[in-house]
Amino acid sequence: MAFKNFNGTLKSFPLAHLPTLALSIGTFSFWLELYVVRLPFGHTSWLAWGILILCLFMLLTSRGWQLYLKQAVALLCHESLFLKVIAATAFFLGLVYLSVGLYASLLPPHLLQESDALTYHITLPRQHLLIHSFTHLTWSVPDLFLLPIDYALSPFELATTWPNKLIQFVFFAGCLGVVFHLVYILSGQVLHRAAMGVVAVMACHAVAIQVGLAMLDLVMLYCFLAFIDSFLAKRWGLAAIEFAFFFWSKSFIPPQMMVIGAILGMVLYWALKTGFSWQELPIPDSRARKILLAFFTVTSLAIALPHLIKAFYYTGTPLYPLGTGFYAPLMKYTPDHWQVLLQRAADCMSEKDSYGHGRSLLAFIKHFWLIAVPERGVNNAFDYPVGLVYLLVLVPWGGLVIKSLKYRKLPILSLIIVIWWLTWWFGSQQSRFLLVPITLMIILTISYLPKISWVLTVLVIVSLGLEVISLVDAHRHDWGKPLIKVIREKDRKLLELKPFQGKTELELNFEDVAFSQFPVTVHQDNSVYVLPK
Amino acid sequence: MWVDLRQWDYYFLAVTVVYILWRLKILMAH
Repeated sequence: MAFKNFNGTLKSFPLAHLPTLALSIGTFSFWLELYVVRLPFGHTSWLAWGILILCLFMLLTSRGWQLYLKQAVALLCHESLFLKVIAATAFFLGLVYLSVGLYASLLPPHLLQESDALTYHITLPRQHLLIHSFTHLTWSVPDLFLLPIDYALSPFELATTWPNKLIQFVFFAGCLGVVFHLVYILSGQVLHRAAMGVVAVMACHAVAIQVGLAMLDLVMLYCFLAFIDSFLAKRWGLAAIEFAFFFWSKSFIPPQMMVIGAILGMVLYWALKTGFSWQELPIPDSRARKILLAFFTVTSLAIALPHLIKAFYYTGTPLYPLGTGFYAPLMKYTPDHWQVLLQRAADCMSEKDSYGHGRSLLAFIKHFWLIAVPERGVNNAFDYPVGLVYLLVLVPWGGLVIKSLKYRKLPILSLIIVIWWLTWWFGSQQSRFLLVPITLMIILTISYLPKISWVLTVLVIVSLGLEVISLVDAHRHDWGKPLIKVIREKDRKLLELKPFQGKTELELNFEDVAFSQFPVTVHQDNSVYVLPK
Repeated sequence: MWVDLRQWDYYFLAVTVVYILWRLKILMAH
Protein backbone atom coordinates (compact mmCIF):
# COMPACT_ATOMS: atom_id res chain seq x y z
CA MET A 1 0.00 0.00 0.00
CA ALA A 2 2.79 2.37 0.96
CA PHE A 3 4.53 1.51 -2.30
CA LYS A 4 1.36 2.33 -4.24
CA ASN A 5 1.08 5.71 -2.51
CA PHE A 6 4.71 6.45 -3.27
CA ASN A 7 4.14 5.54 -6.90
CA GLY A 8 1.04 7.76 -6.93
CA THR A 9 3.06 10.69 -5.56
CA LEU A 10 5.74 10.13 -8.15
CA LYS A 11 3.18 10.13 -10.98
CA SER A 12 2.66 13.85 -10.40
CA PHE A 13 6.41 14.45 -10.00
CA PRO A 14 8.00 16.04 -13.08
CA LEU A 15 10.42 13.67 -14.85
CA ALA A 16 12.93 16.48 -15.50
CA HIS A 17 13.33 16.92 -11.73
CA LEU A 18 14.64 13.38 -11.23
CA PRO A 19 18.11 14.78 -10.31
CA THR A 20 16.52 16.43 -7.24
CA LEU A 21 15.56 12.95 -6.12
CA ALA A 22 19.15 11.86 -6.84
CA LEU A 23 20.48 14.61 -4.54
CA SER A 24 18.06 13.65 -1.76
CA ILE A 25 18.73 9.92 -2.14
CA GLY A 26 22.49 10.56 -2.33
CA THR A 27 22.59 12.70 0.82
CA PHE A 28 20.67 10.08 2.81
CA SER A 29 22.73 7.21 1.32
CA PHE A 30 26.08 8.85 2.10
CA TRP A 31 25.42 8.90 5.85
CA LEU A 32 24.01 5.37 5.70
CA GLU A 33 27.07 4.11 3.80
CA LEU A 34 29.41 5.97 6.17
CA TYR A 35 28.05 4.75 9.49
CA VAL A 36 25.88 1.68 8.77
CA VAL A 37 26.85 -0.12 5.54
CA ARG A 38 30.63 0.54 5.93
CA LEU A 39 31.91 -1.28 2.82
CA PRO A 40 35.69 -1.69 2.52
CA PHE A 41 38.03 0.23 0.13
CA GLY A 42 35.91 3.40 0.14
CA HIS A 43 33.19 1.88 -2.01
CA THR A 44 29.46 2.36 -1.63
CA SER A 45 26.69 -0.15 -2.24
CA TRP A 46 24.29 0.05 -5.20
CA LEU A 47 21.54 1.34 -2.87
CA ALA A 48 21.48 4.90 -4.25
CA TRP A 49 21.53 3.78 -7.89
CA GLY A 50 18.88 1.14 -7.13
CA ILE A 51 16.45 3.67 -5.60
CA LEU A 52 17.12 6.20 -8.39
CA ILE A 53 16.51 3.67 -11.16
CA LEU A 54 13.31 2.55 -9.42
CA CYS A 55 12.13 6.18 -9.25
CA LEU A 56 13.05 6.65 -12.93
CA PHE A 57 10.89 3.69 -13.97
CA MET A 58 7.97 5.04 -11.96
CA LEU A 59 8.42 8.52 -13.47
CA LEU A 60 8.55 7.11 -17.01
CA THR A 61 4.92 6.07 -16.58
CA SER A 62 3.94 9.73 -16.01
CA ARG A 63 1.85 11.36 -18.69
CA GLY A 64 3.73 14.67 -19.00
CA TRP A 65 6.62 13.75 -21.25
CA GLN A 66 4.48 11.31 -23.30
CA LEU A 67 2.04 14.15 -24.08
CA TYR A 68 4.89 16.45 -25.19
CA LEU A 69 6.22 13.71 -27.46
CA LYS A 70 2.82 13.02 -29.08
CA GLN A 71 2.21 16.75 -29.52
CA ALA A 72 5.66 17.22 -31.10
CA VAL A 73 5.15 14.40 -33.60
CA ALA A 74 1.66 15.66 -34.51
CA LEU A 75 2.97 19.20 -34.95
CA LEU A 76 5.89 18.12 -37.09
CA CYS A 77 3.60 16.18 -39.45
CA HIS A 78 1.90 19.45 -40.43
CA GLU A 79 5.09 21.47 -40.95
CA SER A 80 6.83 22.32 -44.24
CA LEU A 81 9.58 20.13 -45.68
CA PHE A 82 12.18 22.82 -44.80
CA LEU A 83 11.20 22.72 -41.13
CA LYS A 84 11.15 18.93 -41.15
CA VAL A 85 14.72 18.91 -42.49
CA ILE A 86 15.77 21.49 -39.85
CA ALA A 87 14.16 19.42 -37.06
CA ALA A 88 15.72 16.18 -38.35
CA THR A 89 19.19 17.83 -38.53
CA ALA A 90 18.86 19.19 -34.99
CA PHE A 91 17.64 15.80 -33.76
CA PHE A 92 20.52 13.96 -35.43
CA LEU A 93 23.17 16.39 -34.16
CA GLY A 94 21.60 16.31 -30.69
CA LEU A 95 21.71 12.53 -30.69
CA VAL A 96 25.42 12.46 -31.65
CA TYR A 97 26.15 15.15 -29.02
CA LEU A 98 24.36 13.20 -26.28
CA SER A 99 25.96 9.90 -27.33
CA VAL A 100 29.47 11.39 -27.16
CA GLY A 101 28.65 13.01 -23.80
CA LEU A 102 27.18 9.78 -22.42
CA TYR A 103 30.18 7.76 -23.59
CA ALA A 104 32.54 10.27 -21.94
CA SER A 105 30.55 10.09 -18.72
CA LEU A 106 30.93 6.29 -18.65
CA LEU A 107 34.71 6.63 -18.39
CA PRO A 108 36.47 7.15 -15.05
CA PRO A 109 37.50 10.76 -14.32
CA HIS A 110 40.97 11.45 -15.73
CA LEU A 111 40.93 14.72 -17.68
CA LEU A 112 42.68 17.96 -16.76
CA GLN A 113 39.30 19.67 -16.34
CA GLU A 114 38.42 17.01 -13.77
CA SER A 115 41.25 17.88 -11.39
CA ASP A 116 38.83 19.32 -8.82
CA ALA A 117 36.87 16.04 -8.90
CA LEU A 118 40.08 14.07 -8.41
CA THR A 119 41.33 16.47 -5.72
CA TYR A 120 38.21 16.79 -3.62
CA HIS A 121 34.74 16.25 -5.14
CA ILE A 122 35.29 12.48 -5.12
CA THR A 123 38.44 12.13 -2.99
CA LEU A 124 37.05 13.61 0.22
CA PRO A 125 33.83 11.54 0.49
CA ARG A 126 35.90 8.44 -0.37
CA GLN A 127 38.50 9.19 2.29
CA HIS A 128 35.72 9.62 4.85
CA LEU A 129 34.12 6.34 3.73
CA LEU A 130 37.54 4.67 4.15
CA ILE A 131 37.89 5.83 7.75
CA HIS A 132 34.13 5.41 8.42
CA SER A 133 34.01 8.87 9.96
CA PHE A 134 33.19 12.47 9.04
CA THR A 135 35.95 13.80 11.27
CA HIS A 136 38.32 16.37 9.73
CA LEU A 137 41.10 14.99 7.50
CA THR A 138 43.93 17.01 9.00
CA TRP A 139 45.99 17.20 5.77
CA SER A 140 43.15 18.48 3.56
CA VAL A 141 42.16 22.13 3.08
CA PRO A 142 39.04 21.41 0.95
CA ASP A 143 37.80 19.13 3.74
CA LEU A 144 36.86 22.40 5.46
CA PHE A 145 34.92 23.70 2.42
CA LEU A 146 31.15 23.61 2.11
CA LEU A 147 30.54 20.54 -0.10
CA PRO A 148 27.02 19.07 0.37
CA ILE A 149 26.55 18.33 -3.34
CA ASP A 150 29.91 16.54 -3.57
CA TYR A 151 28.86 14.25 -0.72
CA ALA A 152 25.35 13.75 -2.13
CA LEU A 153 26.82 12.51 -5.43
CA SER A 154 29.43 10.24 -3.88
CA PRO A 155 27.17 7.19 -3.31
CA PHE A 156 26.62 7.17 -7.09
CA GLU A 157 30.25 7.86 -8.00
CA LEU A 158 31.75 5.28 -5.68
CA ALA A 159 29.41 2.34 -6.31
CA THR A 160 31.66 1.08 -9.12
CA THR A 161 35.14 -0.48 -8.83
CA TRP A 162 36.67 2.83 -9.93
CA PRO A 163 35.01 6.23 -9.43
CA ASN A 164 32.47 6.99 -12.16
CA LYS A 165 30.83 10.23 -13.34
CA LEU A 166 27.61 8.95 -14.88
CA ILE A 167 25.48 10.80 -12.33
CA GLN A 168 26.71 14.15 -13.70
CA PHE A 169 25.17 13.20 -17.06
CA VAL A 170 21.84 12.55 -15.32
CA PHE A 171 21.97 16.16 -14.09
CA PHE A 172 22.75 17.42 -17.59
CA ALA A 173 19.73 15.51 -18.93
CA GLY A 174 17.68 17.05 -16.10
CA CYS A 175 18.93 20.51 -17.13
CA LEU A 176 17.69 19.98 -20.67
CA GLY A 177 14.30 18.78 -19.41
CA VAL A 178 13.94 21.79 -17.13
CA VAL A 179 15.01 24.19 -19.92
CA PHE A 180 12.37 22.61 -22.20
CA HIS A 181 9.66 23.06 -19.58
CA LEU A 182 10.72 26.60 -18.65
CA VAL A 183 10.65 27.81 -22.27
CA TYR A 184 7.37 25.94 -22.86
CA ILE A 185 5.72 27.75 -19.94
CA LEU A 186 7.29 31.20 -20.46
CA SER A 187 6.53 31.22 -24.20
CA GLY A 188 2.86 30.40 -23.64
CA GLN A 189 3.16 26.68 -24.41
CA VAL A 190 4.86 26.90 -27.79
CA LEU A 191 6.46 23.52 -28.37
CA HIS A 192 8.94 24.43 -31.11
CA ARG A 193 10.34 27.25 -28.95
CA ALA A 194 10.83 24.78 -26.09
CA ALA A 195 12.73 22.43 -28.42
CA MET A 196 14.74 25.39 -29.74
CA GLY A 197 15.60 26.39 -26.15
CA VAL A 198 17.03 22.92 -25.52
CA VAL A 199 19.08 23.01 -28.74
CA ALA A 200 20.37 26.53 -27.92
CA VAL A 201 21.49 25.51 -24.41
CA MET A 202 23.22 22.40 -25.79
CA ALA A 203 24.90 24.58 -28.43
CA CYS A 204 26.24 26.99 -25.79
CA HIS A 205 29.98 26.28 -25.58
CA ALA A 206 30.09 26.95 -21.82
CA VAL A 207 27.62 24.09 -21.37
CA ALA A 208 28.95 21.71 -24.04
CA ILE A 209 32.50 21.84 -22.70
CA GLN A 210 31.32 20.31 -19.41
CA VAL A 211 29.09 17.54 -20.80
CA GLY A 212 30.36 14.11 -19.78
CA LEU A 213 32.83 15.54 -17.27
CA ALA A 214 32.99 15.14 -13.50
CA MET A 215 32.66 18.91 -12.92
CA LEU A 216 29.85 20.24 -10.75
CA ASP A 217 28.83 23.41 -12.60
CA LEU A 218 26.09 21.67 -14.61
CA VAL A 219 24.80 20.11 -11.36
CA MET A 220 24.58 23.60 -9.85
CA LEU A 221 22.98 24.93 -13.04
CA TYR A 222 20.36 22.18 -12.77
CA CYS A 223 19.62 23.09 -9.13
CA PHE A 224 18.97 26.76 -9.92
CA LEU A 225 16.94 26.19 -13.11
CA ALA A 226 14.93 23.45 -11.37
CA PHE A 227 14.23 25.90 -8.54
CA ILE A 228 12.89 28.50 -11.01
CA ASP A 229 10.83 25.83 -12.79
CA SER A 230 9.32 24.55 -9.54
CA PHE A 231 8.67 28.14 -8.39
CA LEU A 232 6.83 28.88 -11.65
CA ALA A 233 4.75 25.73 -11.24
CA LYS A 234 4.03 26.69 -7.60
CA ARG A 235 5.60 23.48 -6.31
CA TRP A 236 6.85 25.38 -3.28
CA GLY A 237 8.33 22.47 -1.32
CA LEU A 238 10.32 21.19 -4.28
CA ALA A 239 11.45 24.74 -5.14
CA ALA A 240 12.78 25.24 -1.59
CA ILE A 241 14.67 21.91 -1.65
CA GLU A 242 16.27 22.73 -5.01
CA PHE A 243 17.19 26.23 -3.92
CA ALA A 244 18.72 24.89 -0.68
CA PHE A 245 20.97 22.51 -2.64
CA PHE A 246 22.08 25.40 -4.83
CA PHE A 247 22.44 27.84 -1.93
CA TRP A 248 24.81 25.56 0.01
CA SER A 249 26.71 24.17 -3.00
CA LYS A 250 29.89 26.25 -2.52
CA SER A 251 31.26 28.54 0.19
CA PHE A 252 30.80 31.71 -1.87
CA ILE A 253 27.23 30.98 -2.99
CA PRO A 254 25.41 31.88 0.29
CA PRO A 255 26.90 35.42 0.43
CA GLN A 256 26.40 35.85 -3.34
CA MET A 257 22.75 34.80 -3.07
CA MET A 258 22.23 37.10 -0.09
CA VAL A 259 23.66 40.06 -2.02
CA ILE A 260 21.52 39.22 -5.07
CA GLY A 261 18.45 38.77 -2.84
CA ALA A 262 19.03 42.07 -1.02
CA ILE A 263 19.55 44.10 -4.23
CA LEU A 264 16.62 42.36 -5.92
CA GLY A 265 14.42 43.09 -2.90
CA MET A 266 15.33 46.80 -2.96
CA VAL A 267 14.77 47.09 -6.72
CA LEU A 268 11.42 45.26 -6.48
CA TYR A 269 10.30 47.48 -3.59
CA TRP A 270 11.19 50.64 -5.51
CA ALA A 271 9.75 49.39 -8.82
CA LEU A 272 6.43 48.23 -7.39
CA LYS A 273 6.08 51.55 -5.50
CA THR A 274 6.60 53.47 -8.73
CA GLY A 275 3.93 51.61 -10.64
CA PHE A 276 5.74 48.76 -12.39
CA SER A 277 3.69 45.61 -12.79
CA TRP A 278 4.90 42.17 -11.63
CA GLN A 279 5.38 39.52 -14.30
CA GLU A 280 7.05 36.16 -15.02
CA LEU A 281 7.06 34.68 -11.50
CA PRO A 282 4.08 33.97 -9.22
CA ILE A 283 3.91 35.78 -5.86
CA PRO A 284 3.90 33.21 -3.03
CA ASP A 285 1.00 33.76 -0.61
CA SER A 286 1.38 33.42 3.16
CA ARG A 287 0.91 29.61 3.11
CA ALA A 288 3.41 29.25 0.27
CA ARG A 289 5.94 31.42 2.13
CA LYS A 290 5.63 29.16 5.19
CA ILE A 291 6.17 26.05 3.02
CA LEU A 292 9.18 27.64 1.32
CA LEU A 293 10.74 28.62 4.63
CA ALA A 294 10.03 25.26 6.31
CA PHE A 295 11.40 23.15 3.43
CA PHE A 296 14.43 25.42 2.97
CA THR A 297 15.25 25.26 6.70
CA VAL A 298 14.84 21.49 7.02
CA THR A 299 16.83 20.79 3.81
CA SER A 300 19.57 23.21 4.87
CA LEU A 301 19.88 21.55 8.26
CA ALA A 302 20.00 18.10 6.66
CA ILE A 303 22.55 18.86 3.95
CA ALA A 304 24.72 21.74 5.16
CA LEU A 305 24.77 21.69 8.96
CA PRO A 306 27.49 19.00 9.38
CA HIS A 307 29.79 20.93 6.99
CA LEU A 308 29.06 24.30 8.62
CA ILE A 309 29.74 22.95 12.11
CA LYS A 310 32.97 21.25 11.05
CA ALA A 311 34.29 24.38 9.28
CA PHE A 312 33.31 26.62 12.20
CA TYR A 313 34.96 24.34 14.76
CA TYR A 314 38.25 24.13 12.86
CA THR A 315 38.47 27.60 11.29
CA GLY A 316 36.11 29.94 13.13
CA THR A 317 34.02 30.49 9.98
CA PRO A 318 31.26 28.27 8.59
CA LEU A 319 32.15 29.36 5.04
CA TYR A 320 35.91 28.64 4.96
CA PRO A 321 37.90 30.15 3.23
CA LEU A 322 35.55 33.17 3.45
CA GLY A 323 35.82 35.15 6.70
CA THR A 324 38.73 33.17 8.15
CA GLY A 325 40.25 34.90 11.16
CA PHE A 326 37.12 36.89 12.01
CA TYR A 327 36.51 34.57 14.97
CA ALA A 328 39.08 32.36 16.66
CA PRO A 329 38.49 28.65 15.93
CA LEU A 330 37.19 26.39 18.71
CA MET A 331 39.97 23.92 17.90
CA LYS A 332 43.21 24.75 19.71
CA TYR A 333 46.11 25.07 17.26
CA THR A 334 49.76 26.00 17.64
CA PRO A 335 50.22 29.60 16.34
CA ASP A 336 52.20 28.23 13.36
CA HIS A 337 49.45 25.86 12.29
CA TRP A 338 46.81 28.59 12.58
CA GLN A 339 49.00 30.86 10.42
CA VAL A 340 49.12 28.13 7.74
CA LEU A 341 45.31 27.83 7.80
CA LEU A 342 45.03 31.60 7.40
CA GLN A 343 47.58 31.53 4.58
CA ARG A 344 45.74 28.73 2.76
CA ALA A 345 42.48 30.72 3.04
CA ALA A 346 44.25 33.79 1.64
CA ASP A 347 45.70 31.67 -1.22
CA CYS A 348 42.25 30.32 -2.09
CA MET A 349 40.79 33.84 -2.01
CA SER A 350 43.57 35.34 -4.13
CA GLU A 351 42.75 32.84 -6.89
CA LYS A 352 39.64 34.89 -7.67
CA ASP A 353 41.78 37.67 -9.17
CA SER A 354 43.66 35.40 -11.55
CA TYR A 355 40.91 35.62 -14.19
CA GLY A 356 39.71 38.40 -16.49
CA HIS A 357 41.32 41.69 -17.51
CA GLY A 358 40.87 43.70 -14.32
CA ARG A 359 37.82 45.68 -13.29
CA SER A 360 38.16 49.00 -15.16
CA LEU A 361 35.31 50.53 -17.14
CA LEU A 362 37.02 49.62 -20.43
CA ALA A 363 37.53 46.03 -19.26
CA PHE A 364 33.84 45.92 -18.31
CA ILE A 365 32.75 47.03 -21.78
CA LYS A 366 35.18 44.67 -23.54
CA HIS A 367 34.32 41.62 -21.46
CA PHE A 368 30.87 41.25 -23.05
CA TRP A 369 32.69 40.25 -26.24
CA LEU A 370 35.81 38.67 -24.79
CA ILE A 371 34.01 36.10 -22.61
CA ALA A 372 32.50 34.67 -25.79
CA VAL A 373 35.66 34.14 -27.83
CA PRO A 374 39.06 32.49 -27.43
CA GLU A 375 41.97 34.88 -26.96
CA ARG A 376 44.79 32.37 -27.32
CA GLY A 377 44.42 28.79 -28.55
CA VAL A 378 41.02 27.60 -27.35
CA ASN A 379 40.89 29.47 -24.03
CA ASN A 380 40.63 33.06 -22.82
CA ALA A 381 41.35 35.14 -19.71
CA PHE A 382 38.00 34.02 -18.27
CA ASP A 383 39.14 30.38 -18.45
CA TYR A 384 37.21 29.29 -21.52
CA PRO A 385 34.92 31.02 -24.05
CA VAL A 386 31.15 30.78 -23.66
CA GLY A 387 30.59 30.72 -27.42
CA LEU A 388 28.38 32.03 -30.20
CA VAL A 389 24.91 31.29 -28.79
CA TYR A 390 25.50 33.75 -25.93
CA LEU A 391 26.43 36.44 -28.48
CA LEU A 392 23.32 35.65 -30.54
CA VAL A 393 20.99 36.17 -27.57
CA LEU A 394 22.83 38.97 -25.71
CA VAL A 395 21.59 42.00 -27.67
CA PRO A 396 18.03 40.73 -28.35
CA TRP A 397 17.74 39.95 -24.63
CA GLY A 398 18.83 43.53 -23.85
CA GLY A 399 16.20 44.76 -26.34
CA LEU A 400 13.51 42.66 -24.64
CA VAL A 401 14.45 44.09 -21.22
CA ILE A 402 14.23 47.67 -22.51
CA LYS A 403 10.89 46.92 -24.17
CA SER A 404 9.57 45.40 -20.98
CA LEU A 405 10.66 48.39 -18.89
CA LYS A 406 9.14 50.76 -21.47
CA TYR A 407 5.77 49.10 -20.88
CA ARG A 408 6.43 49.34 -17.10
CA LYS A 409 6.52 45.57 -16.70
CA LEU A 410 9.17 44.28 -14.30
CA PRO A 411 11.34 41.59 -15.97
CA ILE A 412 12.25 39.80 -12.73
CA LEU A 413 14.28 36.95 -14.25
CA SER A 414 16.23 39.47 -16.31
CA LEU A 415 16.84 41.51 -13.17
CA ILE A 416 18.31 38.38 -11.58
CA ILE A 417 20.61 38.02 -14.62
CA VAL A 418 21.82 41.64 -14.32
CA ILE A 419 22.46 41.52 -10.57
CA TRP A 420 24.11 38.07 -10.82
CA TRP A 421 26.37 39.38 -13.57
CA LEU A 422 27.44 42.36 -11.42
CA THR A 423 28.25 40.10 -8.43
CA TRP A 424 30.28 37.91 -10.83
CA TRP A 425 32.18 40.98 -12.06
CA PHE A 426 33.34 41.80 -8.53
CA GLY A 427 33.99 38.15 -7.65
CA SER A 428 35.97 35.47 -9.50
CA GLN A 429 35.62 36.25 -13.22
CA GLN A 430 35.51 32.65 -14.43
CA SER A 431 33.13 32.10 -17.31
CA ARG A 432 31.71 28.94 -15.71
CA PHE A 433 30.30 31.06 -12.89
CA LEU A 434 28.11 32.77 -15.52
CA LEU A 435 26.42 29.53 -16.55
CA VAL A 436 23.18 30.36 -14.70
CA PRO A 437 22.68 33.92 -16.03
CA ILE A 438 23.71 32.94 -19.58
CA THR A 439 21.34 29.96 -19.63
CA LEU A 440 18.55 32.14 -18.23
CA MET A 441 19.32 34.70 -20.95
CA ILE A 442 18.97 31.99 -23.63
CA ILE A 443 15.70 30.76 -22.07
CA LEU A 444 14.18 34.25 -21.89
CA THR A 445 15.24 35.27 -25.40
CA ILE A 446 13.94 32.09 -27.02
CA SER A 447 10.70 32.41 -25.01
CA TYR A 448 9.98 36.09 -25.64
CA LEU A 449 11.41 37.02 -29.07
CA PRO A 450 8.34 37.97 -31.15
CA LYS A 451 9.50 35.62 -33.90
CA ILE A 452 12.03 32.80 -34.01
CA SER A 453 13.38 33.43 -37.47
CA TRP A 454 14.88 30.71 -39.66
CA VAL A 455 18.17 32.65 -39.60
CA LEU A 456 18.40 32.26 -35.83
CA THR A 457 17.27 28.63 -36.02
CA VAL A 458 19.91 27.74 -38.63
CA LEU A 459 22.68 29.56 -36.75
CA VAL A 460 21.83 27.79 -33.50
CA ILE A 461 21.87 24.43 -35.29
CA VAL A 462 25.22 25.31 -36.92
CA SER A 463 26.51 26.16 -33.41
CA LEU A 464 25.26 22.78 -32.21
CA GLY A 465 27.17 21.14 -35.07
CA LEU A 466 30.34 23.02 -34.03
CA GLU A 467 29.86 21.85 -30.44
CA VAL A 468 29.53 18.25 -31.66
CA ILE A 469 32.93 18.66 -33.35
CA SER A 470 34.33 20.22 -30.17
CA LEU A 471 32.95 17.34 -28.03
CA VAL A 472 34.28 14.68 -30.40
CA ASP A 473 37.67 16.41 -30.44
CA ALA A 474 37.77 16.55 -26.64
CA HIS A 475 37.00 12.86 -26.13
CA ARG A 476 38.08 10.96 -29.26
CA HIS A 477 41.48 10.08 -27.72
CA ASP A 478 39.69 7.82 -25.23
CA TRP A 479 37.47 5.96 -27.66
CA GLY A 480 37.92 2.23 -27.75
CA LYS A 481 40.66 2.22 -25.11
CA PRO A 482 40.44 -0.23 -22.20
CA LEU A 483 39.63 1.68 -18.99
CA ILE A 484 43.05 0.94 -17.49
CA LYS A 485 44.62 2.90 -20.38
CA VAL A 486 42.15 5.77 -19.98
CA ILE A 487 43.04 6.68 -16.39
CA ARG A 488 46.11 8.73 -15.52
CA GLU A 489 49.47 7.03 -15.05
CA LYS A 490 49.44 8.39 -11.50
CA ASP A 491 46.14 6.62 -10.78
CA ARG A 492 47.36 3.33 -12.29
CA LYS A 493 50.26 3.41 -9.81
CA LEU A 494 47.96 4.50 -6.97
CA LEU A 495 45.74 1.45 -7.56
CA GLU A 496 48.73 -0.81 -6.90
CA LEU A 497 49.82 0.93 -3.69
CA LYS A 498 49.15 -0.63 -0.29
CA PRO A 499 50.14 0.55 3.19
CA PHE A 500 53.18 -1.34 4.41
CA GLN A 501 55.01 -2.16 7.65
CA GLY A 502 51.84 -2.51 9.72
CA LYS A 503 50.55 1.00 8.81
CA THR A 504 46.91 1.62 7.93
CA GLU A 505 47.49 4.73 5.80
CA LEU A 506 49.34 5.52 2.59
CA GLU A 507 51.79 8.40 2.84
CA LEU A 508 51.77 10.38 -0.41
CA ASN A 509 53.09 13.64 -1.82
CA PHE A 510 50.07 14.46 -4.00
CA GLU A 511 46.46 15.17 -3.02
CA ASP A 512 44.39 14.04 -6.05
CA VAL A 513 43.79 10.56 -4.65
CA ALA A 514 40.24 9.67 -5.76
CA PHE A 515 41.48 6.21 -6.83
CA SER A 516 43.12 5.38 -3.49
CA GLN A 517 41.64 2.29 -1.85
CA PHE A 518 43.23 3.19 1.49
CA PRO A 519 43.18 6.20 3.79
CA VAL A 520 45.99 8.60 2.93
CA THR A 521 48.08 11.27 4.58
CA VAL A 522 49.50 13.83 2.19
CA HIS A 523 52.78 15.68 2.71
CA GLN A 524 53.02 18.53 0.24
CA ASP A 525 54.24 22.02 1.11
CA ASN A 526 53.46 23.75 -2.17
CA SER A 527 49.81 22.85 -2.63
CA VAL A 528 47.08 25.27 -1.67
CA TYR A 529 44.95 22.22 -0.84
CA VAL A 530 47.31 20.56 1.63
CA LEU A 531 47.96 21.41 5.29
CA PRO A 532 51.23 20.48 6.99
CA LYS A 533 51.08 17.77 9.65
CA MET B 1 6.74 49.08 -32.12
CA TRP B 2 10.01 50.76 -31.06
CA VAL B 3 12.11 48.47 -33.21
CA ASP B 4 11.40 46.32 -36.21
CA LEU B 5 12.31 42.94 -34.78
CA ARG B 6 12.99 41.43 -38.19
CA GLN B 7 16.15 43.48 -38.00
CA TRP B 8 17.47 40.95 -35.48
CA ASP B 9 18.29 38.71 -38.42
CA TYR B 10 20.88 41.23 -39.58
CA TYR B 11 22.31 41.27 -36.08
CA PHE B 12 22.44 37.46 -35.92
CA LEU B 13 24.28 37.26 -39.23
CA ALA B 14 26.65 40.14 -38.45
CA VAL B 15 27.64 38.81 -35.04
CA THR B 16 28.21 35.34 -36.49
CA VAL B 17 30.47 36.72 -39.25
CA VAL B 18 32.52 38.76 -36.74
CA TYR B 19 32.71 35.72 -34.43
CA ILE B 20 33.98 33.47 -37.24
CA LEU B 21 36.54 36.10 -38.36
CA TRP B 22 37.77 36.40 -34.77
CA ARG B 23 38.10 32.62 -34.46
CA LEU B 24 40.04 32.52 -37.73
CA LYS B 25 42.35 35.33 -36.53
CA ILE B 26 43.12 33.39 -33.33
CA LEU B 27 43.57 30.17 -35.30
CA MET B 28 46.05 31.81 -37.68
CA ALA B 29 47.99 33.39 -34.81
CA HIS B 30 48.29 30.12 -32.93
